[in-house]
Amino acid sequence: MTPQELDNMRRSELLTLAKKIGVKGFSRLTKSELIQNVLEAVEKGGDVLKKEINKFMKQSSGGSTVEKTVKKAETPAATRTKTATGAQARAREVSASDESPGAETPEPVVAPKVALNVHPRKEPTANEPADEPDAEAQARTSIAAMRYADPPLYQRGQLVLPEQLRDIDSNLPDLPIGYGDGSIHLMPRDPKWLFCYWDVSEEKRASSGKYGYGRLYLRLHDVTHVIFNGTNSWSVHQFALNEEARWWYIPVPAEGRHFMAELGYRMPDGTWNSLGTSDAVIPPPGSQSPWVHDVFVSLPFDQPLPVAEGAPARWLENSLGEGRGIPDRHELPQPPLWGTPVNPPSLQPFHFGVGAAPTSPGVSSFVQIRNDKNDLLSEFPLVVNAALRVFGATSPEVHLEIDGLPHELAADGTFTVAFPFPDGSQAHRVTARGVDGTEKTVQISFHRSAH
Amino acid sequence: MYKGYLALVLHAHLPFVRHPEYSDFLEEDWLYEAITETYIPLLLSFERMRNDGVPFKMTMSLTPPLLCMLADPVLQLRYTRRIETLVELAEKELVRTQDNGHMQYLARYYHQQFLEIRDYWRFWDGHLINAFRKFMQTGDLDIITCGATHGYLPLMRKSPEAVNAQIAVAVETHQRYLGTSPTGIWLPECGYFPGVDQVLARHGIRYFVMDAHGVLFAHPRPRYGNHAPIYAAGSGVAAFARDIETSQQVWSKESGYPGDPMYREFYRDIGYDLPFDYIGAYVQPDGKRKNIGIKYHRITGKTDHKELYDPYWARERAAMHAGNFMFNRERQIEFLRSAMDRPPVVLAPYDAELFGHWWYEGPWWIELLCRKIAYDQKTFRLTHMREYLSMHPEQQVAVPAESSWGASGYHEYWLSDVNAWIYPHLHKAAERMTEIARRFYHTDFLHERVCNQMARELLLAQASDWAFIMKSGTMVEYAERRTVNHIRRFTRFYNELNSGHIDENWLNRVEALDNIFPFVNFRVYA
Repeated sequence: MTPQELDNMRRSELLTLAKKIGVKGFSRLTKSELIQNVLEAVEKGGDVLKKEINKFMKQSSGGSTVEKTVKKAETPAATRTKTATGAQARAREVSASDESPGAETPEPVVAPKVALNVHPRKEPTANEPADEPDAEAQARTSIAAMRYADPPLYQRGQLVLPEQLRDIDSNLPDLPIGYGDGSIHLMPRDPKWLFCYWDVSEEKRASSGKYGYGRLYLRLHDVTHVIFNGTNSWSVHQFALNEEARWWYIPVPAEGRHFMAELGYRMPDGTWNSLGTSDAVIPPPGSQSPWVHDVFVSLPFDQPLPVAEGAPARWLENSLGEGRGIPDRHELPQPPLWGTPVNPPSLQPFHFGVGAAPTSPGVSSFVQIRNDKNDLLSEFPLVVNAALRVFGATSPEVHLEIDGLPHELAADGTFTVAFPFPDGSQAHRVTARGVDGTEKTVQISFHRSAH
Repeated sequence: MYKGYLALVLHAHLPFVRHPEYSDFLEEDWLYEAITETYIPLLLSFERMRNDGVPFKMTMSLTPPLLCMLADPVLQLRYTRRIETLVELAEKELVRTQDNGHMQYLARYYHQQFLEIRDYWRFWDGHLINAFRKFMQTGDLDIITCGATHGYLPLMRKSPEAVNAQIAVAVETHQRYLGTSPTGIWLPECGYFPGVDQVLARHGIRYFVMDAHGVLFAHPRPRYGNHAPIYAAGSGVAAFARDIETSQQVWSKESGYPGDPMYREFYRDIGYDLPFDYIGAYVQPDGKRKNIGIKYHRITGKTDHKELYDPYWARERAAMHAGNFMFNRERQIEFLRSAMDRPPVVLAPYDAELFGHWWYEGPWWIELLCRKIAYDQKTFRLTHMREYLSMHPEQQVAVPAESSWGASGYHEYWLSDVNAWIYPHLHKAAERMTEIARRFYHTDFLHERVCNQMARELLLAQASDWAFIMKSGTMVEYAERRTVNHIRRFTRFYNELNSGHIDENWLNRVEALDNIFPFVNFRVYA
């Protein structure tokens, strides 16, 4: 058995052969790879296997001869018989040449093909009408797929065989569990959660108190506008961890503030051995900004943007504020109290649009600043805001509704509600219903405008 | 006089799935299916509209991996094989279905479709990018870019150099394949964090797309909500918000158009329905079945019994839905205009592969919509972001809110229990890449090749698609393998550079395998 002989076989036959002699993963291989693998297997397998293969090849040699003839016959057949379909023409060619087998097969063998071929196929003979079986066989192969086989692949002038690309990763080590670089990394996931992972080496842990009965803790510091020195954060939240934990989800305590994670051991005597801190992050906002401040600029599209050159900014630290004239969310003057959720700002989905929008949608303190220098940065902030506070009193047992929503009274019968108060008009209806069902209603309306 | 604008945005993206190591690779089908079902049908729609003189305008993002794949000779030839095979199969279907009138009609329809697609493919000689370019040059299509490998930027911000490289390589890819610098970008998964706009500005990008709350939650509160862009404070790059109403009409599984009973059923493919003896040569080489793209049934309803499909009635339904969409936009824009002192822009962004691949009638719908908008109404007209900004340069300044268009609107989909494990490795690799880029800034050709290949491996590992697939739960193994293997290759190069011994043979093979961005320059990480 030579590589040449194997090459003469059909791929399907090679597949059967490969299966028979136990080549692994044969179904994905191309013909040349199959041959390679079969040869290798034979090297290992010795005489017994060789005999078996020779027997197999004798049996299947009829089929391989036919295939070669088909290939040769394709063009003349197509040109000769215009009326017959390609399949029929080819079938005739096949049947004509089948009687004179090729040189590699000295004795024609009537093979038990049904058992051997992957796709059992009935060989046409001269006496039988050949149309049907061959059409069937053709349906199982795609001529187009054969015609557009992959071309050879070259890389920097060298031929690269597909099989050479398959074992690229074979000797590579697995990814390590950690790199031990001591980093602690805090990432915002959404307005409610932060994600923290760390990569602290065993040596560092040991030297920091792992074996001194220290307990591993993750601390979340509120470091809004402070340079953290270990103790000066606005607030600290602390989470006890397993020694094996490699990451942790941390709930966000407050919106719009800057947070920093710190990992460390708390020792039995109360001392804190820090393993390090993360960068500061600001969780994404989960609601509309309470600040209304309309600055408009004109940036002609055909002129480039005024951009600072240089290395990428380290934007983690307070990327909102600094010099841009836009204060952080938490610095904004908050209305004295938001009251009950009659009109909570987070539920006003749009400045305008569907739903319970203010009566004069889209209008707020409209300060139009045209800045012909295209300089976004030179404007200083001026924040003027207003909140609307509605308060009053009635008897404690009365049922009170404000804008159609029930409102709970204080023990002494007083009530207070606050509303956001953008420019425009808004009206509120306060309805009190006594125990006997009598109703009293007060409609109160406001208008705000700024110039 | 028009009262406002509709801006359609189609985001065309596929991860880099090129596998020359196997003659047939299932994941490459993503590309072939997208070409057959989405890209060429869309281009054919554009051609028809252009020939009929229909004015249309829309934005498309062609992501860098997609551009690289569309330009790759191996994949081009393989697609030729694919479309020829489809034509061949369609011919066999003509014979097989000759006893059933309706099936025969469908078989003829598919045969015709595939012939048309093949002709178009042949007309451009496999270079579909040039077809897109044609419409870009007429101004009908505004083609924008994306992250270099669709890397999810908010979870990459630990390394500003890596974020910068994603943008810089993307811009260069765009320039090389489309011959012009992109003016806009589709941030991968619309993932934005404050500061990324400054990187965009440095690369000459003027606008990007956000999900609705990215602009609604901006700070200070945007005056016109979702219906005018805002200029990001500190950079001046414009942020356009997706309109919620338009997304739902098309996206929603229940109430959206694509679920109509008349439309083609995605899950009844002859690759699964026909006997193996017949279809064997057209499914996977190991005998596993797969989608082929010939589907004879329509959605029918929530039943297992599916009626036969009829492209004629499906097209009628698409026309109806296009009319409905247009009517809703007219009402919406009239209302918005009454509340705004300027013409509103309604931005409707979709995944391009939704049209044609998932929603087979999608490309017809788009074409019919454009035609109707041009001839059947006068309330609004189509625009793209570039044109809008040229005409309306005055916009509000605000800080857009960190957000994405993923489930729940932030980073949860890409940072969850099943995929959070990749970030320590990705961050470490990015850190090492910067270290290498600085150390080997001035170096010889061989080292430069190693560094460049490291940049490719890092970029490929960063593709958000892998994390997405891990979360979505199908083909997980493939996504995990891709992430892990790119980082392992990267790490081996890193160790080789440190040890000073470079295996050139191995380098050559990896270059042949991961050949995305042939022109990449690792110094972008320095």
